[in-house]
Amino acid sequence: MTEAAPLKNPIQEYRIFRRRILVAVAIGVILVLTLTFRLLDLQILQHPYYDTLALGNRIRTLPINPPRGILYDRHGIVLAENVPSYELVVHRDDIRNLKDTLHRIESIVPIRRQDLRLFWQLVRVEPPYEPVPLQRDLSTTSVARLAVNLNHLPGVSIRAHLKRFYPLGPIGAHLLGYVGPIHSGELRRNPGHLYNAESDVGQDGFEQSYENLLYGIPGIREVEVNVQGRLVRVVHTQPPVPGDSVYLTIDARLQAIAHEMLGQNAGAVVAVDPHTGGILAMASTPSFNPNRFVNGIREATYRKLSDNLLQPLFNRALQGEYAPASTIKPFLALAVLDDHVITTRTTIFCPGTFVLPGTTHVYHDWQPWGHGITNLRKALTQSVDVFFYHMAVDLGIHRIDAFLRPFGFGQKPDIDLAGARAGVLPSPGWKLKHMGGPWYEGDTVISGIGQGYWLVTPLQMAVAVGTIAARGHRYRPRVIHAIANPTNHRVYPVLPEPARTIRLDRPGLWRIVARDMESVIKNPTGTAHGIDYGLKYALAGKTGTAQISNRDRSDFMNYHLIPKSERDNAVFIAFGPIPHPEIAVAVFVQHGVAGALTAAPIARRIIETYLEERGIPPHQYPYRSLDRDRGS
Amino acid sequence: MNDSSAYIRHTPNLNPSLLSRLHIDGPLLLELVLLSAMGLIALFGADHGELELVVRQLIRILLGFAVLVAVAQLPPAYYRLAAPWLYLAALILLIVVLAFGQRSLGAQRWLDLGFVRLQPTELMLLALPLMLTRHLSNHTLPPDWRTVATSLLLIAMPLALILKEPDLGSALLIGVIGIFCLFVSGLNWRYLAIGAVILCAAAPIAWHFMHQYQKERILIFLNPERDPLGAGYHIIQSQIALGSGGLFGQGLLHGSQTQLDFLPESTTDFIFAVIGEQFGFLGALALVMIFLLVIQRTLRSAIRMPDHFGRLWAASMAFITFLYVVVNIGMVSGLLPVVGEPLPLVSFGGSSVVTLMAGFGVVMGLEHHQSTSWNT
Repeated sequence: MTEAAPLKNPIQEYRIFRRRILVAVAIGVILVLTLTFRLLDLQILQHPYYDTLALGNRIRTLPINPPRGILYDRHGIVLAENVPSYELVVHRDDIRNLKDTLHRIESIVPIRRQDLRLFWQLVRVEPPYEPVPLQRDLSTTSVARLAVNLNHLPGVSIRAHLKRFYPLGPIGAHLLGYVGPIHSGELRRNPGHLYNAESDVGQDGFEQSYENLLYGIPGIREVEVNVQGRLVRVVHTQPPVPGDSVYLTIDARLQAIAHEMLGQNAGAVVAVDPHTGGILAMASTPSFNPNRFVNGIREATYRKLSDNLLQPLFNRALQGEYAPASTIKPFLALAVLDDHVITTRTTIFCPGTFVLPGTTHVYHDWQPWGHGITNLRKALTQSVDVFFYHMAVDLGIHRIDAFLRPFGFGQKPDIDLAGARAGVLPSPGWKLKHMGGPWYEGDTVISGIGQGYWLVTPLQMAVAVGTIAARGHRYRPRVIHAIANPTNHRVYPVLPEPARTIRLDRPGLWRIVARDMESVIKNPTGTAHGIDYGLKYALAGKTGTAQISNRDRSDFMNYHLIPKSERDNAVFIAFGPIPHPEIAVAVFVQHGVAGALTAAPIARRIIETYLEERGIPPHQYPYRSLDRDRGS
Repeated sequence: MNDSSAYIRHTPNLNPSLLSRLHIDGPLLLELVLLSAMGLIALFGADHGELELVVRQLIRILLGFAVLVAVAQLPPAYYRLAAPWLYLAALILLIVVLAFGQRSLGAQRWLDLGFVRLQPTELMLLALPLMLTRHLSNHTLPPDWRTVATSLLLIAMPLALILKEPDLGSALLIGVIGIFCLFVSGLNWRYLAIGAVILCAAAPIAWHFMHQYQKERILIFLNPERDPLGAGYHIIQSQIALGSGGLFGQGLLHGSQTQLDFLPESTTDFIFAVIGEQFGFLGALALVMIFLLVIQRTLRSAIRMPDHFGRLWAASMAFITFLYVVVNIGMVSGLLPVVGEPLPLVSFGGSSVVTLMAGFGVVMGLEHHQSTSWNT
């Protein structure tokens, strides 16, 4: 029946229908099989993959930053600790009217305008479920006032975290350094994936040098979150391993005295234990308050520090390079005695001037009328320049260079802090390389009194003096004393590392020079006799006054007439007690007029304080025993 | 004749049971109850163990079964008589919804009647096949070109209105159902082929007239990672939910995708993913099986119907159910674009439960009434 039938044919209709239904069912079966295979693929074959995706959806791994190791001085006084700090945090998805909430917060505690600006910046960037800090470092009164009102402020909370705090403030700021928020560059390098955006990292000084020791290992908190990113429950917590605490070789009391006595002067003090290389004090003034840096320093504050002409951020103890002036003389004395240029009995006449044979240039003594007949003791006691002009010329620059190098001059000190400078130990080789000119005999002459090309850092000087005090034994200077493990509460001492031993053919020379240096203070004609009054210990010292301008140096007692920036630098080195020294000190005071005037009292007080602290009885040393040495 | 045996097989039941007296097909009813029950459990799991939605859905389901039983009591002649009026009513409602409907998510689909939010599209989904069934069975089969043309007109009117809403997914469903009615009525293969060619040619033009969000949906379907936090989010999250279910599932009220709200629309369009996550491949397969049983039972009724009206209607019901299942599961498992069609009787939602139940009521009524063919 190919033509259209005028009548309905039920049987034919039924046949057509059944055939079509079979076709439809066949297609349906294919579709159902496709669906089934799809489900099979998703739910069984790819199950592990999607299971991981589901886990990644709900599990967030959050770091727990480890508490940083605490810094103590050698006696356990806290130098750097972690204190709780509170910040006001706003959870935006709990707040209907953000502006209204802010107004209400401001009616309870004042909010700084720049914090408000930062808050709005963060609001624009962060996803809505992320809490945004409104005000950092809340004061305790603010915390109290907010805590009372918190139930009226839904979506506002106070978050506590640990903040680095330096209780001594500017005292020792250069030495300790500070921590600050990690920079994006440091975060990108991120060694060992220990750091996150909220980490603090040591930015300077000890905090920077011992970052690995102090930081610890962060913990992990695995939390389950819902689709809004809100915490549902904590799945797993792995506590952080706190950083090691460290005892520094520093004596906080000496450090404080150094800062106090340097006062308004720019300068540096370094005190060292000659038998270990441990730095007992390392001060640089003017200083700054490291606590300002901890939460990220404000730009205006930083600019004020960096624009200051006295450079408070500059660590003079490590990086300040100064002419040693007369403080180089004891080293030269050792050199001439060791090289048999003179004996202790050799005398030279000092007319107040010195002229190199065959030349006309006149080199002046600091005392225009001269010192007359001078032996080595007198030369050191009264700091006779002419004597040392002769010594320098007789010894020659090469032997000076060779003898002084083992004391650490002209080399970067191997201290466990970054940034130490090398200074300059003048030599023809150095001059050719850096100044591009030949060495003249005249250069040798002024090198003999620590002027000319000479440059030393306070640290170098302290270490060198310590080497005389320890009779040729030089130790690697360091500020780490012991490491305290916070987990097992054990303290592991850090052993001293010998750096170099200078051996003299006649070891007695060490004592001779020490005794001559003692005379600088003890002898009524000594340049540092001013600090002898009431001095309880036998100390060895040497003054130095480094010329800044070509002013007449004879009337230094009228120094107050000279503008401060043109006054000479004052240097003083000392160690004590004789005969068994425990401490060596180098003091540099910029524009301090004269070593005896400003630098020596600082050294005296530091040494005395330290020796008293150590319980060393005063007037201990027998004078005669040294005289017997002298007789040999 | 072997083919006609089914046609004359029907013999009066001399000792009718209660179900039989109520013109209810027992096995089909049982399967529908089972399906609804699974839906309620899934809803319970999707809504974090809250009972509120479950109770509301239960009320709708009970209402649906009441409607089913009520509709089954009507003599078949009523369905025929009701068909044009129902179709007309649905058409008018579609126009009303375009004029006054609630705008949600950029499309006008809902009509708020105070006590219930009516979606005329759902009504048309049954009204159109009923109308076509009447129209086709009134003429000789296979349909001649005149009948085909009038049928196409009947399909085109609601199609255009739904496209205007705009609701591309439902429009496609309406179109496919209409074509299916013509197909099982014996539409010439040649017409089908011509239609397919025209459709392919029209596709680029249709693309041009599509709304941006419709284009976006299709593009997202082709590559969900195109916008993983935006439009592709639904597909990705539902696949994760299904995939993390594994063979046995995470268990009722377990499974992070649902419980922590990573899965969007978990109580409505994406409820199949909830079943997949909580009851695994086996649970999902069981649900599909029950759906297939419903379809099988409905097709069985279709074969046993005494006339083409009954046959065509039962086949339409089976096809509508099948289409919903395939489109929904295809969407949830990422095989089809997100068209926003619910899983019948399982997804939370009012009007679709009642209309579908009414449709099955008609199937039962047609099969169990001792009706004679009206057109012979």
